[in-house]
Amino acid sequence: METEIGVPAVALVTRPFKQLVDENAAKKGMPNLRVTYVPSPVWGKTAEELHGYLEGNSPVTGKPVMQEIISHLTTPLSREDRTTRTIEQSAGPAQYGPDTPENLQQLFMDKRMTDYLPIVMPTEERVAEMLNGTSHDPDEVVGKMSATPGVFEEWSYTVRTVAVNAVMAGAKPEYLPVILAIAEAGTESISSSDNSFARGVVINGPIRDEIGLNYEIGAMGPFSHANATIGRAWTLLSINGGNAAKVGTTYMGVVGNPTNWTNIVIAENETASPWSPFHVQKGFKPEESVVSILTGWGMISAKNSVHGIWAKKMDFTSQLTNIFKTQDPMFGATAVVSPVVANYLKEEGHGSMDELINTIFEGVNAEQRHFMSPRSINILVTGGYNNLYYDYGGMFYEKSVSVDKWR
Amino acid sequence: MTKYTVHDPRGFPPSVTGKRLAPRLESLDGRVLYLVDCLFDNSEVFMKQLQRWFAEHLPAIITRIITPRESWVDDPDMRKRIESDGDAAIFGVGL
Repeated sequence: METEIGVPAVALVTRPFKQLVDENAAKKGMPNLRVTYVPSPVWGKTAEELHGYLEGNSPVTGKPVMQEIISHLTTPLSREDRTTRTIEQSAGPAQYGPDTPENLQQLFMDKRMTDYLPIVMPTEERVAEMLNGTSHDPDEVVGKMSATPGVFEEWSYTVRTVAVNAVMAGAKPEYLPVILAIAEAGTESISSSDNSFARGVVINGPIRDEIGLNYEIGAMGPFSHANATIGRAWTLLSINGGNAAKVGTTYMGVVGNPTNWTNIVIAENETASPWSPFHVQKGFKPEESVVSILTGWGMISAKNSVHGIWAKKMDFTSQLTNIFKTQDPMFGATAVVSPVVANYLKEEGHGSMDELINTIFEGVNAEQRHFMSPRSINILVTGGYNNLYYDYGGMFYEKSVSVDKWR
Repeated sequence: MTKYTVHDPRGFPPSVTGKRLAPRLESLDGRVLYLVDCLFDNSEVFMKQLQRWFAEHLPAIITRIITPRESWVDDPDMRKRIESDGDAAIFGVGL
């Protein structure tokens, strides 16, 4: 507004976002952006209460809110306001140390370069060993990431950056192509949003067995080294490669999300599924290894829903339809079903995934338009064979990336 | 005790190019002031109260509430409208 069309402007922002605004405005080249702060919250307040905010003083400057707004639009610019220059940013030195492991663990925490769990020290030797997991040049740029696309600046990262974070997460070199594919996707695992969003990654193809990903009992839990460390590497890369998750600036989640530590890692149980694997549904060949990114609110058990009840004759099509009707259309809905549930669904007449999704989509939208398209719905198959439990949540499919290109 | 030298795990931030602010107005009287409802929670009510405040205290300022087509998305049509007949803008409310 200010620079493109030359119209003077003021942003009204609630008090808790001051640090975020200060840093983000500076990083967008407008450190003197005119901002007036009002109390928080706005949500849940009546019209008269909000009018009171305007009649009151700024919680930051102490000046009358409206007087400050008018001043921002009418006070002539200073010389500094009219200055334009390019500022080169640097994240920091290439290396730290030599120092003791204890001091380095503390340093990484102080610099907010960890998830606050102990890390494996990314020494020269360990990073070199990790880089053996790919044929790519360590200096090759893998991708870019932002704490929230369109809001925060994009940071870029190389194969080496990804390898360093993979070491810190405790990953093995043979996992690196999967982590590089996730990195290429460029989706931050920790969004800055106050919604406390979650992220998921679906992993398909031969790589699952090559690196020992778990897709049977406890598939989404902490029961495999590969699942756990690949998910954690995504978060560490988001923190360090994408500058995400800095509380107060690039992270504002109100209550936080525990899945942000290692994310929702879903290796599909392809051989036990009655349908095509997820990556094949997205246009890849069965023999290709692929990661697919999910974004949204997270996953919970269907038993938590009044529609996920046990019955003498289970009707999973109706269950999923009724549960999905209750989901916010923003991210659509994804179900993660066990192979047993998947086969029940097949017996209910759904021989293909397209047919199943279309049936559920039409059911969800039968009374009123809810989801925009069948693309709002995903059904994934993973887990053990020991019961009929399954999970669901508002998770939207974003994109898929080849793992094989990063071998 | 063994000491280690370790890699910095961080990526590469972009360079920042400074942007110039728009010239300010001598007065808002008789000017068109767009009140941009950013579509956050309850911002519609907030911006109506802002419009009410101007009507009560500074009626010489012409205020118009405007909304982008959706939250978080740049709306060139909205920008074009502000550019064509707007003199200043207030964006609210960020939360």
